Amino acid sequence: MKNLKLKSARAAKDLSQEQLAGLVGVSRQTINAIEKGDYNPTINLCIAICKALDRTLDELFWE
Amino acid sequence: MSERLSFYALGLGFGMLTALAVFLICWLTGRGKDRRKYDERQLAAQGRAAKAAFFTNLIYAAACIVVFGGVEPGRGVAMLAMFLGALLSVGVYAILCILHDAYFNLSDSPRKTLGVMGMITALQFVNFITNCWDAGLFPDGAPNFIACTSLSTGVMLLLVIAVSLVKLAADRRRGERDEES
Repeated sequence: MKNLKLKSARAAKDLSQEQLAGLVGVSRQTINAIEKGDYNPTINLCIAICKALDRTLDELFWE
Repeated sequence: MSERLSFYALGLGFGMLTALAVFLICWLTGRGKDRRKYDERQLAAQGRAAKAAFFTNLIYAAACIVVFGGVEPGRGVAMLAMFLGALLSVGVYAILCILHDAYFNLSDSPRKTLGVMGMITALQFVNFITNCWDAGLFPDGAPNFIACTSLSTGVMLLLVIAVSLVKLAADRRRGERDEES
């Protein structure tokens, strides 16, 4: 299932996938896979993404 | 010591010295840098690729037993078959990693890596041609081990480079499309 909340939070911060990937230390393809719902990130990566986007886990990853 | 053996020892020594020099250069230039490696999704993809490579090797070994009918095929052919099995599984591992974006690490420059790989590929083909020129592909009925290994390694590297280039181009197109949407 697509993670549209992550995509919109990233867009709200005016970040590209490449920039967000650089902030959290993963590849652009990994961010793309998370947004498309092709990859389930570990809790550590979820936390890193939340910190980079100033959001909570509930806001980005809770359905 | 025969002339052939002394050339072999010379080549082996030169190879070991080159490997040592490359290791030292990598170690010295890499010190103190923040060297990010692979992310968690890439590591998982590498694990799956390693499993596939292992099973490829097992299936290849089983196929060899069937092909040779359980009879020792002769030292040259057996060594070549073993080499091709190892090469096949390495190729499967590399290509699966490439297809799942797990081949190049986060700080890698694909262009640089592919450039070095291209040079090594060219050397393999040069080695194949010179060996065939000197001794032929099947001297005394048995395959020329060095020529065959050079050719197979060159072909495998060429395949890896081709898959990398196609994948990188596809990623670039997909990346642009994802950013636009």
